[in-house]
Amino acid sequence: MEINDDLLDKLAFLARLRFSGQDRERLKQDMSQIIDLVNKLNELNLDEVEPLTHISQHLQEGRNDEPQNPLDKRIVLENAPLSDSDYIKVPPVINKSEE
Amino acid sequence: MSKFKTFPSLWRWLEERGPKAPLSAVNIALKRIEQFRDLNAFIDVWKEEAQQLAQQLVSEKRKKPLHGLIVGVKDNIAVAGKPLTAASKILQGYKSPFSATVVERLQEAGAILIGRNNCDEFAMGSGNEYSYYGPARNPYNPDLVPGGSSGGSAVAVATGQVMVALGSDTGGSVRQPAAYCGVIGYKPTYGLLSRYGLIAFASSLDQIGILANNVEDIAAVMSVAAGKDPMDATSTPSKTPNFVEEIIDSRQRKFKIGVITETVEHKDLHPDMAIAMEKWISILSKKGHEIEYVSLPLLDYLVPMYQIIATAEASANLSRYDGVRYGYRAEADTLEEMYIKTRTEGFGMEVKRRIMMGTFVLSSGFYDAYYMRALKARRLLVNYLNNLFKQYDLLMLPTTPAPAFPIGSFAQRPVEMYLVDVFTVIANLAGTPAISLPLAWSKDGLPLGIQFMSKAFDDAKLLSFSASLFN
Repeated sequence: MEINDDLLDKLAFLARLRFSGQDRERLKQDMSQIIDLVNKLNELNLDEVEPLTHISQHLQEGRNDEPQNPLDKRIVLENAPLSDSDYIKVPPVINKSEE
Repeated sequence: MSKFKTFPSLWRWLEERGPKAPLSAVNIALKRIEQFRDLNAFIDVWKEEAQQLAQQLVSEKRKKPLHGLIVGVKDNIAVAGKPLTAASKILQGYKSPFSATVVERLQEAGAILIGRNNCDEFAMGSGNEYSYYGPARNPYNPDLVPGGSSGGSAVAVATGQVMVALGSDTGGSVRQPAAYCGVIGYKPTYGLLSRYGLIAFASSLDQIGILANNVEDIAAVMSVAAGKDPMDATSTPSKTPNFVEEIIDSRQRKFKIGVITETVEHKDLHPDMAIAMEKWISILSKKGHEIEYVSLPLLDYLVPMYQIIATAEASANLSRYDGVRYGYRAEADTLEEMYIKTRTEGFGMEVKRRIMMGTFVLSSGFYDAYYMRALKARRLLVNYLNNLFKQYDLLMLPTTPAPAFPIGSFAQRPVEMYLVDVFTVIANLAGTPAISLPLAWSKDGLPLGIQFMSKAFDDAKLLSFSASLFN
């Protein structure tokens, strides 16, 4: 299957990635090849098979719904690229030209 | 077994060296880390802390279960207060606020963590070539890869820089580098070791694994680390065995072993690997094990299945890296542009390729044709293996088709690199335990690994059998 520019752009947007130049051409090629590889699964008759969504054999039990100690805010903020004393700072959500 | 100087098992080391064993172990480890620096096995070395802890252990009267065990930790397993980057630019500057449960249990048991091991970015690779810190190198020939993604961990164990290393195994990332470096690589049953604190790649396949030079050390680590963890809902609620006791007298037991025909007749199988398999089949028969050939007709469908499931889960797991809360952030005028620039600049090409593939198989229009098909095929595999394990205690197959490959071999051919995982992805797709044992050498003097699998939660049997081959 061929990956064209439209499909690549659509997927890149969903993944919040951007590709240009050589990377772009290589990626189109690589993805086409990987898709050809995984198309092998089309040979299998899977009509009557239920998908396997969990690999654990046991039932997963939730813990009691009681508050526990989350991470200390100070420690969380230390890891943030940009913050003030209480919040993580990010660039504007709304573009100025759209205001 | 390794041709380099390595540590004996921990219990033997303690017996030989007496009360000062932890201190001499740390000093020898540090010396070797320096000696093998060019192999790039470590990203960080925690020298002072390791020495201090060793000193403290020496002064303690009661020995702990892992008293002075020198451990390397793959750079995708959290140690509180230490940098954790998954060998990626996107996590530069991140310090983990907490430790992985496995790390915590090891520390409580007296293990000494000596540093962070190099690996492929987000554990995606088969050669430890895709690391932000540069490639790790094979100790038997530095022009070859050490295997991946836990390459640094395998190198550190093979050259005696540590006694044991923690790695992670999503499609063979512990077993394959273990095979390429001549050490033991063990992937436990899915759910036996907590994944809390392991950076997620593909959550239904990921498992923390152990690399070591002897089965005794692996059993010692498993005895303290395995079992229920409230922080990981997929961890087993069942009581876990005392693995140390389980591997004693391992020679007494005889097993029924199925050799997977499609693997020994595989078109890519290196002739030296074929010879190694033949030789060990004959040795095991002579030891009194019952050996039969079994068929796994799904073998050629495993890498396609794996590629779909692993990339799908990776694309979801890696969506959290957006430059907001931690790690690298690119400068941009708007939030949306900041996400895109951060991810585009922060991730390496292999990681981006996989995110894009995962996005493809999950996107509307392709979801049923790819992702759902892979999940259905996965059930076929699991059912088929369950039946095989009703008849056989163990399955036997090569760990890899061939010995280590030269660095850069697959630079232009990523798809071919994926096929190197053909024999290791089985255990991840099925959630079963598997171990690669360094039982043979190629004609050129490179290590070869032979792999054994058991049914889920039969890990004690698998380790016991493995121990018997070295006694």
